[in-house]
Amino acid sequence: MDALKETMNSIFGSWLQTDSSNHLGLTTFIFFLTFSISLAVMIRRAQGTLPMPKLRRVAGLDAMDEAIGRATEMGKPVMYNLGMGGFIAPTFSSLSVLGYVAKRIAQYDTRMITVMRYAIVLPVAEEVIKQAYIEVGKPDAYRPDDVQFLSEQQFGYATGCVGIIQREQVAANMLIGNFLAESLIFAEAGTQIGAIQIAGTNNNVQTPFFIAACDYTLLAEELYVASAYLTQDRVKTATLLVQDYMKQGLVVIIILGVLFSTFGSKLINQLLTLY
Amino acid sequence: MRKTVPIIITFIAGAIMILESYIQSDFLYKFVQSYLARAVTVSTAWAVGLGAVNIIRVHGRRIQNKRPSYFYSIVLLITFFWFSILGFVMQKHNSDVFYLFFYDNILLNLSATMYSVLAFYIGSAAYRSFRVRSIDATMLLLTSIIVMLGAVPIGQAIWPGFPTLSSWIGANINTPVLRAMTIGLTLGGLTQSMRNLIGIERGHLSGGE
Repeated sequence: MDALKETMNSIFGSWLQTDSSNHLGLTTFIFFLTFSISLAVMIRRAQGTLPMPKLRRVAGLDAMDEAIGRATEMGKPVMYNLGMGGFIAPTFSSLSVLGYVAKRIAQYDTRMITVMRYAIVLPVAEEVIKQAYIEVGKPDAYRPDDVQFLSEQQFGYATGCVGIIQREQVAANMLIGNFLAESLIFAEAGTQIGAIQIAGTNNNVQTPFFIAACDYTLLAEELYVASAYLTQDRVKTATLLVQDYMKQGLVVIIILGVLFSTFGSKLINQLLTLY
Repeated sequence: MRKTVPIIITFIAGAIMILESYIQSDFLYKFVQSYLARAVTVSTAWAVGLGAVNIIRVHGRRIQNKRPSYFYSIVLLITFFWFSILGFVMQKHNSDVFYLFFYDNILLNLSATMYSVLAFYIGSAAYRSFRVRSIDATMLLLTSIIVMLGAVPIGQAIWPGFPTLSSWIGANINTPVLRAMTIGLTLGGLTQSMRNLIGIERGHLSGGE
């Protein structure tokens, strides 16, 4: 094993970056390369005739239409909360969902109040919603005042959201994105006024709060499936396929690691930390 | 053009960031630190300006039209301008006594109050979740009772095994589940980022798919 480590050092030592605090090294590099190549191959095949698997039902995403329908019937607004993140993966996923929800909102002539913590997300959210109204042929129905930047202060933002939920008596409360300690404040405020609530976050610690307080919760990576699920796009579905294959690979490595460790061998551990 | 240019910029910037993470290169490091990081700072500063305009517009119109609860909008705008003036006038606003007086005595207290509300919300959410309606809810209730008793001295007084059992649940049931979710989330986040990087995901580009 020492000889192998030395060989790896001589091959990668001069150019490959390692950073133990971010778990960057040869293992993550190989993982990233495998992921990227698999992604390129699958996208190519998806653009052809490769049959795509049907995505399993995601209750939280199916309930979007139900929530909008309920708000329409009640004549009350929908509140869409983009969360506490700047331009990070969950916010991008949330913006995709926002585009879908905004189109439905525009079709049904319902009102939607959109809020976000970071001002940098504001112009993008405005454009997404404006475009949705244009696409359904109702550009004049777009209300710029309903897309609101509240505050970059965590609890200032939470206070603003609760204020809107209480004042406007929203019929549906959608919480999709990155959420921190204030997640339960949003969810409980919605519960108190009887709003139908759909939530999804990348923050594992906050997920139980959403499960406890919301009607539907997107669990773990369901948040990132939203875009492919709502558009049923073949190429996006192909990327999910790669994600699942990689996950299966990781599960195999974990099982091997457990078996080797159980029998007193550290081979898998040593292989994963070669460089 | 409206979508192609942002996709090209995203791809180039993203590719540089990825290369900088994996490749040892002073040039890439300096480029990211001195150019990309500054670009983010400048665009964020512009966005804060847009955010300020949004606040003034939304609340200004609310006051103008005397919508319900417009009094709060007046308070908000006064506070907004007051803190802006303080920020502009006080050169060292982070350490200025006058600035800190308002910051410590208004903002911190209000934030702490809102954070404290969480305790009551956790209580009401727990009450609903712990109602014994199904096998899952019953298991949740029993587990939470054990974990709670394991965390307080009275639990140990009732039965010394509670802390050990509580730790066992945390290490052997909670942690594996959280790790499984973390793996899923990490892979999901990576896939989402790659979709953004190569331009498959266009939901943020004016909703165009």
